Amino acid sequence: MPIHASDNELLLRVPWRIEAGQWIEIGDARIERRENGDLEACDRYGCATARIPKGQPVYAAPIPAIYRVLTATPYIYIDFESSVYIEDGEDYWALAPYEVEVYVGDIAVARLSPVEVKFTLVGDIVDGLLARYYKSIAAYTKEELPDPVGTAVVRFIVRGTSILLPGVGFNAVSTRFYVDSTGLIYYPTLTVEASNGGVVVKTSGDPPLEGLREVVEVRRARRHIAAFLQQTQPFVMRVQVQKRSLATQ
Amino acid sequence: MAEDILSGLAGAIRGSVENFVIAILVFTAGLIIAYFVRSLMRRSLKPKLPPHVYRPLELLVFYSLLAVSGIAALYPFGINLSGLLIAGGFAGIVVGLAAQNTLGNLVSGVMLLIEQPLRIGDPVNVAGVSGVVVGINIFSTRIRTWDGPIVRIPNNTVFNEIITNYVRMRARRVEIAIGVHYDTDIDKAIETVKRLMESHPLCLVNPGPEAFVDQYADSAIVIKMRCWAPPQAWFATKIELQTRLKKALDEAGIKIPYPQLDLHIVDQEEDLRVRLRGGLE
Repeated sequence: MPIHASDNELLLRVPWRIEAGQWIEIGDARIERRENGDLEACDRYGCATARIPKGQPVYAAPIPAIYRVLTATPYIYIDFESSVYIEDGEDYWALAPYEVEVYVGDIAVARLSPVEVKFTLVGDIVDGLLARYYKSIAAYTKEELPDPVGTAVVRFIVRGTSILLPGVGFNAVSTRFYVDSTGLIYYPTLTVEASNGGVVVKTSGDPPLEGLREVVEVRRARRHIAAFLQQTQPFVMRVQVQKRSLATQ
Repeated sequence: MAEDILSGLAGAIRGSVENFVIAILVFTAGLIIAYFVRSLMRRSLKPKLPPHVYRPLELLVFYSLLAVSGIAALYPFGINLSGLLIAGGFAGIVVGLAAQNTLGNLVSGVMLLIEQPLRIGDPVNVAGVSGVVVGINIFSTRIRTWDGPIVRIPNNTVFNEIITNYVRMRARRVEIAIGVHYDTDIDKAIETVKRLMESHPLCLVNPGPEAFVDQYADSAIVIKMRCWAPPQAWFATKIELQTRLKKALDEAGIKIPYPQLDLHIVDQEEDLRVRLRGGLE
């Protein structure tokens, strides 16, 4: 389902300001503000309703996808449809989910997921990491990616040894978002430090492209994060490195 | 004669002053050591323990060291300390015996706070009491059971019992068994159950959900479904899956049978008469 709105101009201004009588649909998420003051925000997992005075501005902004349907982890894991061989200094592009926070002033009215929510365990049951799960292709260029509905574009750069990556995860708690002139949303660049023992993924905070605008209102959401999510450890993943066997006979 | 008296007096005064100075020095040294130990304890315990635990401990050690240095300071005056120490030791034994349980709880409480096998908010099972930990102090642990009441368990018991902590894990397995009719297409039933788990947001992708025939029971084929969920959402996931399961099976046309009994009558020479009432025309 693509992004729709009662007014197409509304889509270009992130955070999206929703006036009385307007609605916006981002994937499965729909936010509607009626003339009578009723605000309804729904996704496939439920709805939140509130009455908002007409003069009060209502905004919706992208936030890290770590709140729906359960705030259980600060990590997002992108599972590649095919493992990707990456060498030092190369970069790849993928899609990662974001959520939409509907807010009035400093108060969050609802958090919605435009895409299906799934979780996974990266690693084993003893010391693995619980992470929000999303399956995406890994592309050489941004243009190769499918239409990103309810998902943001992620660029990751590899440093260190060459590696075959089945996916990439990152700590999304303190992340910020960037937006281009078409309304496309970007996560900051991820740095994947690869070694024979595995990978450590760090969120640089840098925009993935030049000319992007930072969505400053995302910082507002950080006030509401659960205490246990204050952790800022990078995403660490063990990757089984299988070296080529050389015939000796 | 007078000189002897004066010199003796002077010597006695000098000796007393020396003893007094020595006593002051010993006590001051003890005081400095006590302060040093207290600050050392504070630095090491403060990050690990709450204030109501580490403060009594550091005070206990601080005043014990002060008492020892006070007793040591009396030594130069020729006061016999052995009797005092024996009396103190005896009093210690009496107090220790009288407060055995209390001291045991105190020590166990400190050990629990250092080891932290449970924390406030953790769902646990301790000594047969299952619920959420609402408080831990140096003498007891309080657990709010699932149906509401708050149970106080002495720390000695908590420390010596098997503790099951339901949240100190990465994921927890949900397991549900369901019986389907013997006429059911097993593959279809397994597929339906698996799809249900895959569509649930809290059933993890990895380790993936699994469904299999667990048992050929008297009246049904028992299919077991398993999926892993975040530990804090284990119960919600279980009851949601159980609720949706019947609907999913109904939609797939899969019947959940009632208990059945086939009755075979052997060596019956006469006809068996059966009377049916109502419902037949």
